[in-house]
Amino acid sequence: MFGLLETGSGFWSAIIWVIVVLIIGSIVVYVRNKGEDSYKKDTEQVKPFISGHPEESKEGSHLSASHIYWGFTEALKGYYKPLIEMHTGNINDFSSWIITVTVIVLIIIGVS
Amino acid sequence: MGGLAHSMKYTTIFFIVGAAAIAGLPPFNGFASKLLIYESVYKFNPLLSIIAMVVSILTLASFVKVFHSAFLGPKLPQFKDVQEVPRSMVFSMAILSCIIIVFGLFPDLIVKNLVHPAVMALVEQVKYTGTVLGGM
Repeated sequence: MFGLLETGSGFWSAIIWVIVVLIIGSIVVYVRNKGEDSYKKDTEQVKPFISGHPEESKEGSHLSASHIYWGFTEALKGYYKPLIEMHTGNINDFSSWIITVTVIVLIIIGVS
Repeated sequence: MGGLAHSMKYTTIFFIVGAAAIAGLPPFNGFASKLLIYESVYKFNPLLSIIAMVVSILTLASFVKVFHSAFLGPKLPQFKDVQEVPRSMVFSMAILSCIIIVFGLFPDLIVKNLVHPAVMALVEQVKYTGTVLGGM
């Protein structure tokens, strides 16, 4: 079949993947277009509700990308903080890290 | 930065294609490459394969962050004069994006015509040397 990549253990076909995504996407769009009976346009229910606080301006409420990861960085703080401290901006430190990690990977390869 | 997607629509689309390819999302070319690497490395050492997958996930996370902070969000006042890049740059990005998509949809073309001959050249070194130096 055209576009079929034999990987040794199985196969990968991006075309089949695209077809499957299109089918699932069509079902999602169909369900979405059926709509919600209780939805009433231009009423109080469509206005944003931020726990009773007034809505900020669009420019003032732009979420930084770092907010997306807040949960991860908060939960992994103990692991994350030392990593930030390691990012000294010194090229010698970065080179040392590359060499260290390469040595560890080579040891893993050598051992196995 | 933020909100550049409002004024740089083409750049935004081509950025998504490039970022998805680097992160190894299907159906772009990076996925086929990474799949072959994961499988072959897994047979050699499953731990290395897991490390590769984690790195791939972190790559995706970093590009989501870059995309969100640069392109998404409302149009910011300090970037109100920002315009789309020149047509020559849009054209260049379009060509690269098309290559990414074609290579992603038909990875077998690349494996059969480029990767496999290169592997065979490595395996059959004498034949390869003979072919290269045949005329000497």
